Amino acid sequence: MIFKIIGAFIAVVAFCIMIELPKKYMVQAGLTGMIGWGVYLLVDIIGHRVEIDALISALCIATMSHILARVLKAPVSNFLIPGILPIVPGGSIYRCAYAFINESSYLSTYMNETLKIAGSIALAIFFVDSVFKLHMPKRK
Amino acid sequence: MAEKNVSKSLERVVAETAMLAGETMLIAGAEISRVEDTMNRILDYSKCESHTAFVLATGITLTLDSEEGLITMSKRVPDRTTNINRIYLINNVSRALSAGKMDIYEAYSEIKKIKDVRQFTGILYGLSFVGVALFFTMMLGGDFTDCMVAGIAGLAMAVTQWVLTPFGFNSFFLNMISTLSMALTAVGFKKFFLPGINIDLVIIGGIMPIVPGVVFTTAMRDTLNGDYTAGVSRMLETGVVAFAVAVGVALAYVIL
Repeated sequence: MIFKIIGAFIAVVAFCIMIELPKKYMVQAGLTGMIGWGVYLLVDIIGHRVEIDALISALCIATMSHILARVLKAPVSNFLIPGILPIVPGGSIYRCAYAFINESSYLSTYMNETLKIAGSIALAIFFVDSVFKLHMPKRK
Repeated sequence: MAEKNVSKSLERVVAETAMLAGETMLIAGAEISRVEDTMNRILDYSKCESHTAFVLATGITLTLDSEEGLITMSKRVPDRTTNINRIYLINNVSRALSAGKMDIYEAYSEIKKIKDVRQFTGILYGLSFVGVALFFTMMLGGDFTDCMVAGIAGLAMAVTQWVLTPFGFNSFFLNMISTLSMALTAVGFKKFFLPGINIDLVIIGGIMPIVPGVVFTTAMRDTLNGDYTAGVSRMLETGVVAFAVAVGVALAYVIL
């Protein structure tokens, strides 16, 4: 499990190179991703439901990105995009399309999983964005 | 350009600056509301009564009601990449402009410079493909050999992209072929050298550099902000990329 979390940190930092994140924010973005993935794994131990794992860890990641953005005076997406990356259902999207091509009977299962994870992440981002907008009525 | 041409009115320069900023941000993959916000902040500099920046996922229109008449510009934006550094820098320029620390001519030349800025080039960019593939496999629980195979597969993907990008293929084809070469490497290793590897983890790790996680997150935030057209078109983009990836992997299984 330690290895998985360390892997998440380095993977997120490597991804930051690909999307050209400003150099000075890379470590913070990596930490966001790492903590998010750690929460995902912890919640997964308690109950094996991917949508709940994704929801809770996306809530943590979104809250953390908003706080970091306020503290470091940088756009929220600087931390949100790399941070959310480990839990984005890339694997499920791919399995879905692959099952579609193969005419596999698992198509609906994977489709279901993808939509559930995507919906949970969206819900978490919506929720945290709205909460932080309450405190900051108008940014100019 | 704006500095040399003295005959241009201030409003005209403001409109051109806003358009350039908006175009650069949209190509860099910013959320629609952030692009509109930045453009409006630049347009405010002209002190004109009314101005509008209307941004879609594939184009920009702006109107500025100046004293000498309406200025209207529109621009089609066909390219889509991700470059957060440019978004960040332009955001800083527009804030400096509205705080009065910079005048519009400085801002124009500054944005012109930002348009082509890159932090990482060549080897490091290629290595990031290897890093992403290798450590995503590790993150998903692959053992040492899985990670190494994923790293090599990521390298194959990076080399393919490096070779094919100068030819100017469209992104669907480019994604498909680079996934194909990645999957061929992975499946080839499984078939001829290391039958014990977990091919599922290796392939999911290997496709991670291309899987549209960034576009997906941006699409979500666009939808929340009420930019439904941009949200839907970015969601469609996610689907198209995922389909290209799946076709690439399926072809590799068919070939080997």
